Amino acid sequence: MKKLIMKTFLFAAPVGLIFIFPLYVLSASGEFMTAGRIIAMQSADKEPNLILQAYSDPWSYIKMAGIKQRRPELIALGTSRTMQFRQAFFKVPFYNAAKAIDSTAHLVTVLESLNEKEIPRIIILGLDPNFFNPNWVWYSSNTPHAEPKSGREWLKILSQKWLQVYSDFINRKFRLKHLNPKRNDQGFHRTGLGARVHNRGFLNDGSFLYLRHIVKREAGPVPEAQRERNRALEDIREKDDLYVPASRLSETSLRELEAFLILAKRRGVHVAGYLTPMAPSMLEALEAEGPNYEYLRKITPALQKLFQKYGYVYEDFLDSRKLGATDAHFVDDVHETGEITLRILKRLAAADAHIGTSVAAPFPEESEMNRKYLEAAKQRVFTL
Amino acid sequence: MLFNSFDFILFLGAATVAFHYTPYSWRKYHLIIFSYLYYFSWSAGHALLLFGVSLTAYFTGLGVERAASEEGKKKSMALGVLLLAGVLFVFKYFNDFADFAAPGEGPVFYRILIPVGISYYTFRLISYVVDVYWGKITAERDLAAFTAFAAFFPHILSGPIHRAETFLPQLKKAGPVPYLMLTSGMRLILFGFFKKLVIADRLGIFVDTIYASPGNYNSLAILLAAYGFMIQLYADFSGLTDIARGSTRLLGFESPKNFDLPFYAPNIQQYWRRWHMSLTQWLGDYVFMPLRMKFRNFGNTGLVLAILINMTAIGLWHGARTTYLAFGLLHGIYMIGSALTLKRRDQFYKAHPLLARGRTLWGPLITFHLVILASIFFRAESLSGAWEMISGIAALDLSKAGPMFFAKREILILAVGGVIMEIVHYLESKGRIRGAYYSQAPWMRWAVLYGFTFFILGFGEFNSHNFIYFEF
Repeated sequence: MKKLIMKTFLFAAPVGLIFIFPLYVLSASGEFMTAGRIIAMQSADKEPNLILQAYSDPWSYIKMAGIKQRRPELIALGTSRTMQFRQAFFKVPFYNAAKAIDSTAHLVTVLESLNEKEIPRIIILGLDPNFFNPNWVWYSSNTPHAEPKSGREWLKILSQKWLQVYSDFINRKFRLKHLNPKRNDQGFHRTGLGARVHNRGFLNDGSFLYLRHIVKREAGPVPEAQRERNRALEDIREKDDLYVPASRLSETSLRELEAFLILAKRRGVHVAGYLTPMAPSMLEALEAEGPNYEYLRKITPALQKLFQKYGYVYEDFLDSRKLGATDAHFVDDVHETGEITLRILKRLAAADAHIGTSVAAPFPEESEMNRKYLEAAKQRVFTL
Repeated sequence: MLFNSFDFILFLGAATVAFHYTPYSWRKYHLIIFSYLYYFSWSAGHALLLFGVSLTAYFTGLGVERAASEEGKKKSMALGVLLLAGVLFVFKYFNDFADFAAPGEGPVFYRILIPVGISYYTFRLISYVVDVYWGKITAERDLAAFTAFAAFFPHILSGPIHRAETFLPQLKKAGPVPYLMLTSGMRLILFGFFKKLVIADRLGIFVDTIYASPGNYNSLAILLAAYGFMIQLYADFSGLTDIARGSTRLLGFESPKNFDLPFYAPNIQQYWRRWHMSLTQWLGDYVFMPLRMKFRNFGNTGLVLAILINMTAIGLWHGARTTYLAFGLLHGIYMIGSALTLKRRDQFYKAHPLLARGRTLWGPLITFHLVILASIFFRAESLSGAWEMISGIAALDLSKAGPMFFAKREILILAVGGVIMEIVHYLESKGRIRGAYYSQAPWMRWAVLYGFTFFILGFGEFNSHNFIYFEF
């Protein structure tokens, strides 16, 4: 037995050595921070936090837990495309719960998992067009809110991502200076390599800040954003990912949305829904495809009818040109910057009295909205 | 505590070290303590149930042996089997029947949490009682040894179904566990992790996506998912078995094999002799053979009946679902077709030696595809889901989304992993694995082990997916 133990130890020692560097990188950068700690930090801290972990994504759980803990009056619900609504836009307690859902299948789950004290009074519901594409392959009905296993999450991340850490380091996706916490204390507290390297992440109100994009945009067009759009144009040509063609609407998704609206009505929650926008060049590319994306034209008539049936407001912002947007207002093909979200909110506030009475007075100025972030960003130490 | 968890590795390490420092005569107590600790990690209530059925089987065995008359023995055996089968029936099938009686939203109190491994340990205990009745073994008098046999933790979740006649003598054998047995156990565990984490769980991502909504994919994607599931199931279940058998070796026991190159079987009968061997042998011994004897005067009709009942039992052993029933019946039909024509086919190929060469190629190919077809019923959530898969393949429609959402890197890892898996299986099946391994220089052996370790650590899926057979 002693021989076996000795040999096992000898065998395991080099394996263990290989894990030391990834272990250091992941722990020093905040990648191991548990969902529970993130929730606590976001709730307690008055200082701006920018949190984005590169090797794990616990946000669907964090957002649900965030609603339960903060009990806001108003929430924004949707995918990453609904993440730009901020507390500063509202006078009532607000929390951005975007990313709590991945598809319409999760909508009812959100309401069902909240008790009477936790349920918000108003929901701004961002609906992505691909939700209603019956051929969208990433439609997922799995429950997205499972709590990451506390205490063992770090082990899972280490075992799954150690090789990726080496690969990213060799490819200079991050540098050792990104691991120095003292340097990160200036400006924003940045947690996670996503936040430290890319200067973007979740703020304390659950919204997401594309800080690097905002700063870079000051100097002109942002090449990364254009690259992302080019990749998406490639997807349109390949008819892949978000851009799988469809002529009809997904009956399943419509049923799931209706079930959500029925439940919201029953529980006294007001819902204001909207179709999330796309960068103008992307919509033009889809329109040029002729009948391939026929389902896009069918979404609004169907949703309008559905929302009206339950006495709720619905607005279509798919064509962002109607909001005065250009490609420069998008960080990629589908994620708009805060200015466009503000314009969306203005329209929703005009159309819906519940939203109208909840927005901040005076209504936030677009020119002002990024000022404090830009000031904070000036104190940053990393190259943006 | 799943076998593919860090907790289990720590637990197994502690159990192994403790086992080796435990005096030989106390080892049965060690096994009881660690087995029940392990089972407690799942459910304390179910551990009590396990202890209860163990006592039932133990006293039934003694009762059968002590009964004065043949009639008394038979009655004792029948009562014990009925009790054990009753426990299995209630705990395993109650939910299915409740669902059947009240589909959809049944009342909550209908639901019973199925004790993990119940199908395996009740089958082991039933075989013990029947074997005592048949006189194949004598009733075990040592309650501690019997309790250790019933609860033996490496086999408790998903087998192999280790029978008392081979387990108990090993438990009573005193002496240290040979060093080579320990290292071979560790290698087997490593290989099991490789199959589970690198192949099965990776393939599962692809298979699950397509089985969840086959209507969204083209025929090629659906066909690949059908193939993929069978390979996933094989890697998953044989990986689980390897971890179980490897863990068993660390405690000084040899356990039965469960797989022997099933995808190279020349016909469906051979396939079932090579797939989940401990279950098919169990059903063969305790269901098929008694039925065959009972129906022996009915010629082929008797054979057909015995096969059909046996294969239906295999299907329903997985659960009382129409899909498992269809799976069992389909395999029953294959078996009947094969059994009734085998003689003629053999004669035909004897008369046509040139074609006989081809038989070695198309025999396994046809068998494999028959197995794939049946596996669609096994995997699908419902008969309509299975039909959607089959009609999706038959439509030969390539206009919808294809299989290429699965990244090329994943395909490459699976291809390399699959080839390695099959080379090892081949060498293992031919009994050449030990020779091939020990004929290498020590540094080469370590290099192989490091190769597997880093393949697992680098390309394994570490999301702690359950083993597929765990739910049975």
